[in-house]
Amino acid sequence: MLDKLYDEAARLAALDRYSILDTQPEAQFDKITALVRTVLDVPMAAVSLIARDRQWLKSRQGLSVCEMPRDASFCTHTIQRREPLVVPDTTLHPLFADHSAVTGPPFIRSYLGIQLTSADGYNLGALCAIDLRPRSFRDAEIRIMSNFAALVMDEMELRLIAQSDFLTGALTRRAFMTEMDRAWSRFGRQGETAAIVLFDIDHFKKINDSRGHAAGDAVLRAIAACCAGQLRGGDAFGRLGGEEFAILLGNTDPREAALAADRVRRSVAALRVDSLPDLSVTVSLGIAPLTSEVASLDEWLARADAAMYAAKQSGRNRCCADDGRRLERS
Amino acid sequence: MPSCGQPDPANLEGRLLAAPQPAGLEIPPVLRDSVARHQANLLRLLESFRAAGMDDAQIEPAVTVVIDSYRRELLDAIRSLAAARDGAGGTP
Repeated sequence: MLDKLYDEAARLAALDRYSILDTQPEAQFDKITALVRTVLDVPMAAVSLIARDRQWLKSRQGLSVCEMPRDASFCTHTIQRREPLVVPDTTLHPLFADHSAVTGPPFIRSYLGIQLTSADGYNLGALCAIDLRPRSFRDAEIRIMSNFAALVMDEMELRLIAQSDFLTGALTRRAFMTEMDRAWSRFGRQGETAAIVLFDIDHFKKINDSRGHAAGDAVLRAIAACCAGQLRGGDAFGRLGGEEFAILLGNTDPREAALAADRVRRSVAALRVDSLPDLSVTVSLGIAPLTSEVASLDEWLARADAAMYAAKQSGRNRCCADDGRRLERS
Repeated sequence: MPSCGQPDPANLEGRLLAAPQPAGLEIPPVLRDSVARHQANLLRLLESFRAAGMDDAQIEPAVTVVIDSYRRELLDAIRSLAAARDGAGGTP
């Protein structure tokens, strides 16, 4: 089995689970970096997360940029080890002496980085303290930083629990909207395409009424598991309401989104719920690609909702796109 | 002497152990591990602060910032779980 320190694909998947990259600043992280700055008496501190090709700062004190290429990052070296990375004088360090942030602004002279390690053992990033003068970090200071790093992970774990729907394990509506916001940012920044597929279980009330709420819950769980099994890395799946779910497909054009939606439709139609072997369930799906015509997140979701409504109106167990196309069933 | 398992509010450790618990709200099972881990991490931070030569008067404001912040997030998490359970669940 690959050492977790070197299993980059699994590390990135772990980071992805926290759904934190490109989110807005949050006070609970800013308070910890502010404390790092005060307690260690440093001008700069950050909660840094290392994505595939960049370092992104969830919280920063005294730093003007919120992301940088990974190969320009100090913290990328921190996550490749298990012990704190302590650099008392960057100008004397073989990895950093020629670094542009050492030889030029902001002229970093010392660095302390502590790994932010997920519950399952992957280094997602680092809590770092940066000084513009050479300094040795005392053992007591390193221990305090390690404790602060543990508190950062407490906050990240709490955030992760809060964004999971207790019944199905899907993202909550609020967390799913955060994922949509991130996709929106990527579309604006890099032109990365995306689409949402909104779907609703057909005649769910009838299932609840005739078979009881425990049966309804079993159906919700089975459908969620069925959909979650079809996601790719970078996709997101959320439960937006009682029997309403949504899938965010990253890096997906309208044709691929339609194919993915129909795969979900067919999988659900073929699904058998263990405790309800005689029950057939279907879903109606609405597809809304993200285009430059979409003015807001609410409009994006409303387009998918209108398409889903059209799928319901035209007979259920089908997919409709937001341009009014009804997709033929295969 | 506090009763068995009850934090003593007269000392900083006791206040740390009691602090993350939002008054009057039961912590759902899914969050209990998180709260226990946070309490343990707070106590380790306290030890580290003392080992660094800080006294309790200096430590308490710093730790209070962390506790308040976590408690707020914990409350949000509890409310979010309750909303999902009561409003959006298949079970009404």
